Parts: sequence; structure tokens; C-alpha cells
Amino acid sequence: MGILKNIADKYRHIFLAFLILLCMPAVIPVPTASTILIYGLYALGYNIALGYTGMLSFGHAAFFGLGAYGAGIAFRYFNASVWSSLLTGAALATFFSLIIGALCVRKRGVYFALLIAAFGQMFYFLALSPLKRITGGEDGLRGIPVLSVETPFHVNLADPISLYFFILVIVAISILVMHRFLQSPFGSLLQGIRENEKRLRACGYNTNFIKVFSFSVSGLFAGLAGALYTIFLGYVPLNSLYWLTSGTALLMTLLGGVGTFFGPLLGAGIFIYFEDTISAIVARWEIIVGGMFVFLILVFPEGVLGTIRKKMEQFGQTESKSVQERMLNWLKK
Amino acid sequence: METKDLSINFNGLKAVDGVNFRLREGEIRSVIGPNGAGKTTFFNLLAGNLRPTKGEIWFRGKNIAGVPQYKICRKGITKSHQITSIFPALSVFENIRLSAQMRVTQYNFWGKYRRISKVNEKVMGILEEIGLTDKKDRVAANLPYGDQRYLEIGITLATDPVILLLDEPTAGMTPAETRETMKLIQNLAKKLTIVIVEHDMSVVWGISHYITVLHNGATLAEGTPPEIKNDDDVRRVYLGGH
Repeated sequence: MGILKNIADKYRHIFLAFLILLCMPAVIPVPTASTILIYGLYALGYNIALGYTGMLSFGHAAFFGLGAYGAGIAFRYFNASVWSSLLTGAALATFFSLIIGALCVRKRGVYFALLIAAFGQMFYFLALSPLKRITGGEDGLRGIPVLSVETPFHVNLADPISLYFFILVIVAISILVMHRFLQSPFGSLLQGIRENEKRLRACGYNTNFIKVFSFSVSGLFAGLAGALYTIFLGYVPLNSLYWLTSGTALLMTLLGGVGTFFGPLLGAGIFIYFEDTISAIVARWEIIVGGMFVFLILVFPEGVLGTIRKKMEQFGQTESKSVQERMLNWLKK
Repeated sequence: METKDLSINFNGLKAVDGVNFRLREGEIRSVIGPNGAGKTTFFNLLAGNLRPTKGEIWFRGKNIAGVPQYKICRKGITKSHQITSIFPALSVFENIRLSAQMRVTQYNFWGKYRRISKVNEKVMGILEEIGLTDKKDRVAANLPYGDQRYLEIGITLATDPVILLLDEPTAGMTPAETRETMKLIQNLAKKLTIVIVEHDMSVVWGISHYITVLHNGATLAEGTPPEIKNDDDVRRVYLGGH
């Protein structure tokens, strides 16, 4: 019993998160809930780069989009199964995040962010026109057959609820893997890079390698989210590669709390829920949603979870500089 | 360790110019000289922060000039920084743990970092040595300045150096802290070789076995503390009224 209690204590927040995710489709519309899961995974992956390693990226749409197109192309042209399509999407995103990461890693701060953005837009324009015959150009990649999973057992993905729980299983596994990765000796180095990269290098670590690795883990989960998005929509929209999709991940992460584990997921929840509900009522919904975000950031300057955590810590002991503050310092370097 | 004709140019400025330097095992060596003499640059060359334009650095039978800093650190040459460089938002324990982990495991993606007892024991040992055991859970940024300097030395020690380069270890310390640091350095010298850059001459006279004086990027004189005290050239360019 003692051991069980110990485990329950340690993974309290994970249990809580899974419980909320399990109940979510009962409370909000199922497609909205599925979108929250997908973007939540995307933002969680983004946060490995931004919140843990301190690498600001304006181009994660490239990896989200590559995951989406990778899965879409596997379905459309190779008649691949759901599993192998997910794998293709994630592998494609990981591969390119590895290459792009390795090319850009020597640049820091805003220069890094903008270089990644440039690469991201390159993929967007490639999909828009030179590769039109494969990607469908502006129309996106359509004609993806209705899908079902056969192994290990039959799941009909045309049914929204089954689809939701299929996505939930993959997101839940990803969350566990990510959590474990960040608790590993290697994962513990990421915060060292965020805090003081030069110092970590002076301690005998190959920081460039660590950054590239972290960036491609981040790309892997973004790509997996993209591949799930293809399954969810039944087609690949061109704007999955557009730079605004990168901004979405950044906004969700900031909204939920940079450097907190579940913050980005919460941020995605708030973002998608407001976007979906308000855009159904008002035509110019962006104004209202934008206003709400401004309000939220004013109330929770370090993101919802980040601010709550800070308040709780202040209760206990003295506080250090906020992650945001340090990110700003890092950008100035 | 030995350097041969070690030089570096910054846009034509010869910051370090043909230094031949030979370090004996187990000694405390001080590098002194007026401001701009190239002491810090010389240190950065030894630790691999900078790549020499010319010359060689021999360590254990290998020329390590131009080898990346992290590899030099793994070979056992580590530098503590003149400007305190720590991981501000992490705990004191975690600051040293990150550094101590390097010798034990680097590319372990699945273990639990909190559970590596070999690393944890090593960290506790170092905390004891630098006197921060009871502050191990404090956030590093909130430590008083003197403690941050000790933490800096602790992070450096955790990499298991053979040669420890200390760049102005007592800068900004109170006289009491300075005495403590001198004691710490003398204790460390029982196990490893130490090179320090220092402006506080009482520290230099107090602990050095041997002194190298740099001037305009070149070696002006070398010798034991009494020899250096009585060297005419050194008195002229550096010691002046001391």
C-alpha cells in the first residue's frame, strides 16, 4: 500500500490530467475536444523546445505540417494503415527537425527563431506550388479514405467518440513518454541549457548536440500531432504549414505557462474552446478572442499554470526570476 | 601541462603573444599582471573557450590546442568563471548535480535523474567541501554573493578536474570569505593542480608556490613569491608601490 500511495502522490497531476481528458467529450462538443487533444500534443511538444530548453521557434508549423502531409501522403498514395501513416508523419517531422535543428543550432535567440521560421515558410511554399501535384496545392490534400483501425482491435474512426478516444490513447502515451524523457538524466540537462548554456558546456557537455536532440524530440511530437490532425480532418489543409500555425503553438504555451509540464495542454484547451465557441456565434470572433487572451495574460502574466505555481511557491518560500523574464534576457544576448 | 608559443590575435591585437608555460603537478600557480595583460584570455585558451591563432597546448602527451571546450573539460581541465556563472533558477543541489552527472551518465534518456545514487553522493560530498550543505534546497539566484562564488567553484569541482583554473576566485568577497576561500584552495591543492588569476596580492603571496607574471600578452617573469617580489621588472610594471 505504501508504494502505491507513493506512486499516486508522484503522478497526481498526471492522473488528474487524464481524468479531465476522459471526461472532456461529455462536457464540450466532441470535435472541439479532439482538436484540443491534437493541438495540446503539438503545444506540449513545442514546450520541450521553448519551456525546457529555452529555444524559441517561429517555425514549428513546418513539423506539424510535415506530420500532417506525411500521414496524408501515406494514406492517399500508398493506402497505408493508420499506424504506419502516423509513423510516417512523425518520422518525416523528426527527420526534418533534426536537419533544420542542426543547421540553425549555432544561432541564438531571435536569429534562431527567425531562421526556423524561414525554413517553415519554405515548406509552405513548396506545398503550395512546386509540389502541387502531390500536395494538392491551395486546396490541401483531399481524398483520404474514411479510416478505421484494425490492429490490435477494430476501431471505427468515422465515429467521433471512437476517434476521440483513439486520439486520447496516443496523446496519453505521448505524455507519459515525454514526462519520462524530461525526468531522465539527459532530460535534466535541458533546463541547464535554458538557464545557462555556456556554463553547461564548461561542465563538459556537448550543448549543441543536446539542443539538436531536444529540438527533434519537440519536432517528433509536433509531427505526431500533425498526423493525428490528418486522421481527424480526413484531409490535409495547406494552412497546417502556414506560419500562423507556429504562432498558435507559441500562444498556447504562453497562455498555459512556459516551462510547466501541463501548461501548454491547458493553453490549447482555452485557445481552441474559445475559438470554436465564439466563432460559431460572432462573425469577427478574432477581436473577442484576442481581447480575452490579452485579459488572461494580464491576470496570469506567466500563463495560467505558471502563475498558479508561482503563487503556491511564494506561499512556501522565496521566489526566483520568472522563466519569461529569463527568456527575455536570453533573447537580448 | 605545457604551452609552446601560445598566441592569439583579436583583429591584429596580440592579446596573448608566444607564451611558454609549464605547469608542475600538484602546485598552486598564480598568474598575475596589470589589467589587459592577457590573463583572462590566456585562461580562456587553456580551457578551450578560445582557439589559439598559433602555438600548442600539451596535456598528458597530447596537443589539445583547438579542441572544443567540452572535450577539454572531460580531459580534466576546468575553469571557474570570473563573473559568477551558475544556473540561477535551479536549486543549489541541482546546480552541482548537473555538473556531477557528466562523469556518470550523459546520454541516458530513460532513467530517473533523481535516483542516481552515485551522482547524489558526489554532490553531497562537494556541498560539504564548499560549505553549502544546509543551503542545498535554496534557489541559486537567491544566495548571497559569496555563496554564489562558492557554488561556482563547486560546479567546477563536480567535473572532477585534474587541473583547476580559477579566474579571480575571491573577487568581491569580504575579507572573511577570502580567508575561507584561501583555505579551500589550499585543501584542494592536496588533490589537484591549481592555476589562479588573482588581483588580491595578499592571496597571491599567501598561497602560491610559483608565480607567472604576464605583461602585454607575454611572460615577463616567473619564479617563487620571494623572487617575484624582488624582481625589478615586475616592480616596475606591476607591483609599483606594493
